[in-house]
Amino acid sequence: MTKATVQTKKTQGWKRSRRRENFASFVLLLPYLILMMMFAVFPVLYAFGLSFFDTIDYVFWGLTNYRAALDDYRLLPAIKNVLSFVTIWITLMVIGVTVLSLFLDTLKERTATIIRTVYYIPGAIASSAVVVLWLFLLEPQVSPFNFIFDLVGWENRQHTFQGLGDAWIFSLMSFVAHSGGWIVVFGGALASLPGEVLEAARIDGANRFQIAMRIKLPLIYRTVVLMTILSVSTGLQIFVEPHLIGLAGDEFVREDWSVTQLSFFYAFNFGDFGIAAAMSVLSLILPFLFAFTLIFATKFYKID
Amino acid sequence: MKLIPRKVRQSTALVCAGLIAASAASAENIKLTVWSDPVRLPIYEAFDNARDDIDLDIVTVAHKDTVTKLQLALQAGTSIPDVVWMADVNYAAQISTRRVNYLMDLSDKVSAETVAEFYPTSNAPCEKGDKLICLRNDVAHYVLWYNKPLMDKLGFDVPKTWEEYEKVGTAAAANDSGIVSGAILANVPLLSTFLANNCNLAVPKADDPETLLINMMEPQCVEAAQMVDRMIASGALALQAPFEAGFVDNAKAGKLLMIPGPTWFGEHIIKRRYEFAPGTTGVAHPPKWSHQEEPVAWSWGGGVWGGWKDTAHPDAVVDLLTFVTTDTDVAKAAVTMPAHQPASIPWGKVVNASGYYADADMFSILLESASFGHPGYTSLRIDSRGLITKAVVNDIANGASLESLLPKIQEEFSNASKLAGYKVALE
Repeated sequence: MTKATVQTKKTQGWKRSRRRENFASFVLLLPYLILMMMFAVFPVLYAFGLSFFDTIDYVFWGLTNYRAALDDYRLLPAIKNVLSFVTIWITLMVIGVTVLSLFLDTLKERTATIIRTVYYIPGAIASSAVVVLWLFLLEPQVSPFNFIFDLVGWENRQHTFQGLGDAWIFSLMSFVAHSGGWIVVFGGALASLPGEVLEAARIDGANRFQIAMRIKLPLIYRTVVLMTILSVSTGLQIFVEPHLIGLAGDEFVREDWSVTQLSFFYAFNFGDFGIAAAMSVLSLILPFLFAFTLIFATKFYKID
Repeated sequence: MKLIPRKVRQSTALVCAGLIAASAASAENIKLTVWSDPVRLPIYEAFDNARDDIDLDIVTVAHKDTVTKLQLALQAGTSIPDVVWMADVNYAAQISTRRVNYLMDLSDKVSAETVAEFYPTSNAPCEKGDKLICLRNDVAHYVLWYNKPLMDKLGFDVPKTWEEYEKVGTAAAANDSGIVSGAILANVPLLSTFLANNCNLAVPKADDPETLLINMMEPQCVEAAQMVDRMIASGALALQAPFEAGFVDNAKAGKLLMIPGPTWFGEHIIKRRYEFAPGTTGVAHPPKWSHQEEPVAWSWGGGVWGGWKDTAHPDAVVDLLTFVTTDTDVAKAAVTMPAHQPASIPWGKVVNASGYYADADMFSILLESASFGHPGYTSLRIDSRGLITKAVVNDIANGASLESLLPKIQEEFSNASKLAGYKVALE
């Protein structure tokens, strides 16, 4: 009897301290949760609700907005554009960032840090500014890479755009803008690998390439998956690059290149926030499916 | 009284006094919010000076953001401007739909005499049924600009028809002279070439403005496209945009013989960008096709002003709209040719007096050409410039003929017009 009481008291104490810890973590999370509710969850729910209404008199009209969105003749080409962009960009990211990070990891720490910072700089510039920068890079008459353009015979920006294709141009822009940040993250992941494992591999006679491919890469695959999930959802929302490319001149305007742009068009050209909301909700489906597939297929949250 | 510290008492009294003063001032002065670009700021200053009872609060908005920001303001129901400057005539149609109903009907507010004083067809973008939803700021119809000394040196007469234009342009470009007679790789130059031949490229039906005529297979459209193709092939038309660095360099080097362009090309493009020497720039009526009785001139720009239909001060808004479009002192300093004819006369005098143009009275050419304005230059809910860009610009830049792209233009314009709620008809 007394023994039992003691035990209950112990459990209670433990429970209390556990509860206190929980409370503390919620307090610490609160600012983030509030902001997330205000600027992420609420807008999504609001858009979801709005997508079922006619925004003139605010009458419920079911799936009419969705029908209009799906009937848009620009939707299919836009989906095609976005998918080709995402495919090219993600491939560039996965291969480029992984290879560069593994290379950097074989260098001396000081050199690697300097190079990593250099890679990061373009990522620190807002993507709108990157677009403007690229407009110069792609103009054979002023580009520092004009020798390349000479080589393939491109004389003006039209040729460059036609030669590379919009999806490749936007992919290159996004790669330069986003890869630096991920190289830093990968650097962190690689630095935290257990030294004794690498040591053991080295003693077993593995060369640098083998260590990179057989030891390091399998150990950081979660970071690769994380990057892929986040990049796919960023990529599917591509907006800034095609939206701003028109700065190069009227002949480069691409107002209906991506799905997000179509949504923007409905809201701000037609003032039809209902169809815009429907289009946005539709464009949420793909990233959701993709993220969940990857998370469950790779057992992303499983702790070894 | 002791309970409240002295400082607080003093400041409270000051605030109260301030509030009373502010409310007294606002009772006297009407405050209007105006959205505009920075170019037009001196006009508002002039209005501010002329009217003591009205204060203007100017918000500068980038041209392309005008419709976007207005949609947001209307959606939010706050910070809605009383007056809006619209750099693109299509904005007027875009913000006077059932969904986005912003513009005030001016037909019973601006006197019929004043409206009649505008150049014929210049207010076509502002007419919506029986309503007048805006006032045109400037007319921007096409004329033919040319390099007079070069024309004389080569021994050509200034073309009066498009057939002559092609002949002269082709002859001048012969033997790889590098002399060009226009830049075609841009949206409005392409649109205007079709519409000058009365090709029906999204032209509202005369008796039913909700139906757009789109028929690129008509002989006039094909004729215009073939002329462009031949002139690109002969090097007479540059496969460049008129403001592109390469073309500008060429024009500066004296290789630009002539270029069809709107009224504002003289002051803003030829003088400032192409840097033609004083006394060099000639201007002529826009060419006509030989089967036409007189030329038909499309326009490039020519903005409009509009007021908010729910403004608290409709009279003040109408006063401002009338002032900015018709005041002769404002017109004198205007950057473009005023659409209000009496106001454009003093502007023309200033331009003539500058002595820059080859012809001492170049303004009379602009004035006469105003009567050739295409009546179909109205305000549309579609973005014609963006559509023609998407349909053809990339392809002709890469060697496709304009004629081969006519079906693509037809499809793109038909689709977009239907999406914007228009009916589409071939004739």
